[in-house]
Amino acid sequence: MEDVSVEDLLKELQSAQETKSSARLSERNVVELISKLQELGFLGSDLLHSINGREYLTLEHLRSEVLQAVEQAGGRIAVVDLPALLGVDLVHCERQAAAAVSGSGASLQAVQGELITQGYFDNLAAEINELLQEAGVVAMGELARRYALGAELMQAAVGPRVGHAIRGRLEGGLLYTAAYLSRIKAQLRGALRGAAAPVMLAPLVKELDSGMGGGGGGSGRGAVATFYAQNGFVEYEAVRRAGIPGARAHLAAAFPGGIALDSAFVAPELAAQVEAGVEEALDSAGWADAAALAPAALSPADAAALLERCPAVRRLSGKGDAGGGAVLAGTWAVTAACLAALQGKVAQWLPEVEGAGEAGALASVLAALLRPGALRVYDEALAAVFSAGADARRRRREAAAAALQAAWERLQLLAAGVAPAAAGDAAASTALARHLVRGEGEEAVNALLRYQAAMRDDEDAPEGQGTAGRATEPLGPLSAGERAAILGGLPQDERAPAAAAVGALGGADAEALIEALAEAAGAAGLRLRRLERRAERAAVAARRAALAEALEREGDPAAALALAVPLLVARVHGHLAAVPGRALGAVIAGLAGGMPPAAHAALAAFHADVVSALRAASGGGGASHRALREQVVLSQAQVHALGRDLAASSDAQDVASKAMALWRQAESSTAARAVARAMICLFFANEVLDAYQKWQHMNTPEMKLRRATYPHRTIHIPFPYLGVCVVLPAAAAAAAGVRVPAAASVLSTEMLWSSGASIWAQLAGLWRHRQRPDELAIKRLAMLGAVVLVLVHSLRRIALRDWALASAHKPAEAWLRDAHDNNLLLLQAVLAVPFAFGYRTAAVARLLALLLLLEAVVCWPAWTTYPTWHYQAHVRSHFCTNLGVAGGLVLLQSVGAGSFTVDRLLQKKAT
Amino acid sequence: MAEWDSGTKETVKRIPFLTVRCGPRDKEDWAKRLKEELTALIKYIQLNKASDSDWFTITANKEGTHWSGKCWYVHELLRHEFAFEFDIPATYPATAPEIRIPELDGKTAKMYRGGAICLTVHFKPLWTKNSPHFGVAHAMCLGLAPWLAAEVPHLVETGAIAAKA
Repeated sequence: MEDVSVEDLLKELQSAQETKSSARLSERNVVELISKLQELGFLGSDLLHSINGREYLTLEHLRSEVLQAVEQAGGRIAVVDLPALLGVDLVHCERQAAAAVSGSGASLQAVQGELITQGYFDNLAAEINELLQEAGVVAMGELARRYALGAELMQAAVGPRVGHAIRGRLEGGLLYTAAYLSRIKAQLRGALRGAAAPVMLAPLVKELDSGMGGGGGGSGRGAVATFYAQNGFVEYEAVRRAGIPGARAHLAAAFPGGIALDSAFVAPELAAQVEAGVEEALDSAGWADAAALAPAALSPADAAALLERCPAVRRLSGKGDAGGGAVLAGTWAVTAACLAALQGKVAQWLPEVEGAGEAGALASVLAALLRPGALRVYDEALAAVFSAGADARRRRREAAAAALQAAWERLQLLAAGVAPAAAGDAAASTALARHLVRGEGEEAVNALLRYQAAMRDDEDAPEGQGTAGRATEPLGPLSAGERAAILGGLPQDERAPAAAAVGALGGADAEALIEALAEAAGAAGLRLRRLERRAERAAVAARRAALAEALEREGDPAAALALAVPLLVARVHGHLAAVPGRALGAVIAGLAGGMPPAAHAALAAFHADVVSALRAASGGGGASHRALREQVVLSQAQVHALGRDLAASSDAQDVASKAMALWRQAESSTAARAVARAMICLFFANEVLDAYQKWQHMNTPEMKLRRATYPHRTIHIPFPYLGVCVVLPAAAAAAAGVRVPAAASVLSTEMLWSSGASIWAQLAGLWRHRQRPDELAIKRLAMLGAVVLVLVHSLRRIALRDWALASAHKPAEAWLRDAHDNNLLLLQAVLAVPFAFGYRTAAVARLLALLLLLEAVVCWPAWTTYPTWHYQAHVRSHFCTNLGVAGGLVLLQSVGAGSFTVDRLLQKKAT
Repeated sequence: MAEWDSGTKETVKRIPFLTVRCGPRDKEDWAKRLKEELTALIKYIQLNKASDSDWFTITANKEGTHWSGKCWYVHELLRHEFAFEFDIPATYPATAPEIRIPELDGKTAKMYRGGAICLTVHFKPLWTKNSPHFGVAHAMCLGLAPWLAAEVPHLVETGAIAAKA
């Protein structure tokens, strides 16, 4: 090798390339040969190749093949079917089909993308003829539809053939045969004759009758008899309908003992039934309506006739032993007693009616009509009165139970906070517990006693009318005397536990009171629910929000302090506590561990101010109150106010200090948290979008084609159901602040799941093949990843790229500038070291967040367009990852870095 | 080598391995390396000619840092020809050269910005494993040839390119 120079070798390379290939006439060689020959004009330009690329063929050959295909298909073929049959591209097939049509004279037609020969039409005519002979008549439209030909074309094909190939006639788009015509004529003749010729009625009736009934009048009689037996009456009309002449006579003959009325024939049983009803009413000095007692089918006149037949009614009018009475409005039988009672009532309401009508008849009739309505109203009113009393009692009992439960929960909540808030100070602990027992404890005991009193009242007065008024009495505190009175009224088994609970009020042990209360409530038959941890957390959060709101509105320094200290206790210890003024100092001292020292100092100073101000009985402490409020509550309104203040300011130094204050407030405000959360959720939304785009891309026609052609090169990507159905809703919920812990758990699980795989793959690649890991995956793991990243990404590469960019002659296109090696990464890597060890976390995290945002905006402009969708997705992924990590850092600002930090160590050493 | 067909694997085995571990910045050793590269290429081209599967021409500049040539692929009886070029990277032979086909830039997804072809996932690990024994000839055989075989039919099917003649 040493003796040969590079130049020689280059020449040798050249010559090696120039030597002719050994001529193995493979397919490709032949291809090249053919194309050469075509270029040289030896073959002419009319050379085609088949779809599979295995055959060459000339235009003439193709044309003959087209004609052959038409013949084979029976004279009719679609041009689009030709490529599959002949193996030649559709364009060429179409061209040759057109050429064949123009060259064939009229024997071949091209109709709507189909080639049709004359022979086909001949066959068609024969087929149509067969059809016609069978059916007699055929519509042209139907034929056209059947053979999928245009109506005009069908007309043109069939028209000339009618008469010889098709034996029939064509008229108005209808093909018909002579036989069909004669059949129609015969039908018409028959119809006309039937319409004009006379016919005898009697035979017709006979015919119809025998056709319908079969058995004649016998069955009609049977039907009447059955109806009468079942219902106790039969109408003459029905009898006539059954075909029996002389209904009355017939019925009287058929059913002796029956009663003939105006419109119906009634059995004696029915009359007896009516009579029984009437008699019963009359015996009880009431009234009866015969129309209601008799079947509804009977006319009112018949009902009246039935009523008259009753012996009891006859007695009424006859003023017998029943005491008299009257038959009113035909069907109403009313006793004299009833009449007299009603008459009295009506006379009472409408004195002017008295004496009207014959013997006060008008009043009686009115009364009879009014009475049922009046009775109904009375019933309803009675029911309403009863149920109203029960409702009021139940509501009162439930209110007492709910008040007891609420007071009990509050008591537990606050009791949990006693120990942490006192922070080991025994005196403070006692003071807190006593305050709690006196306040919330007393409230709970009062609620219990009220409940028990309500229960006892219910037992004493089940009718309910007496205690209903007491439901509205105010629920003020009970005095000791009242308590004793209620205790005295309790049953023996409830009295002892309740007395114990009342006794516990005197002590300073919140836990003992809680136990005694639970026992007393159990004895009273009420189960109190222990406070669950989750419920406790929710209650603490709600109370904190309420406290913060109250503090916002509070103007008095002392009251503000009383609100602020429980709020701080809740924030620092996670428990609520009722803090009496005496224990404030101890509680504030106990807060020192969980607050920034500056804020704690401000709080202590404020407390001192308030104490001295109260001692001096004068106003003051306003300034530190304001400071405290800034420390404790950072509201959006304040941020806005500061922003306005800043805009109004003109001095540079002033602006800087105000901007810093604004920034501090903004980053720990709830709005900033929400924005940070949204940024993190954006990352997950982008993940899902990525997965969806991949799926969509794999389902584009192009990728489907690829997959079909190279199955081993492409992978199957399923639809991201998990992402769309679980991750996306969770991200939305977390961004909106709904059920954040649950949603965040879902998101972090997804993160571990998806990122874990990619990080593992990257690490494996690094370990096995020394492949550079993808910076995106590393950044996902943590910001610490940036260190590893830059160690692996050599610094030289970044420098080289910068140099290349700087020395590029032409301005590079936006998307050509690859941002993977941007310099911001170096700064991030440098900052990641102190951040990882928790040194000056606050400042470093702020800077890092800023750098990440800067990188996202400067290096990953996801909003510009890129030539491929996947590069676009990649850039968007970078953008969202940066935003997400920045959001996490902002959140870290407000949540804090935790206890394993250098900052915390330093702080411990200092104290 | 799951990605390459058996023919490619056979061919790669017959291209001589290189021995000098040296990039273009070291003048003396680079001359040795360049000679080895050229020898391997000549061998590869001769193999191609012998089996009648010649598919590219290539030339280098005097320093051997910039290479260019033409490659072609026959699809459906039509010859598709492209000019390609690449530079020897500074970290060669640890890093494989990035072959560019500028005229196809933006026409296919399997390409980085600037026209560098997007090689299969197996190429880079294999190259790293075989450094410094792989050279330009291997890059052509394992990189460009399979890329053409996969992409040209697709490009033709999607209508992105058409044969010139």
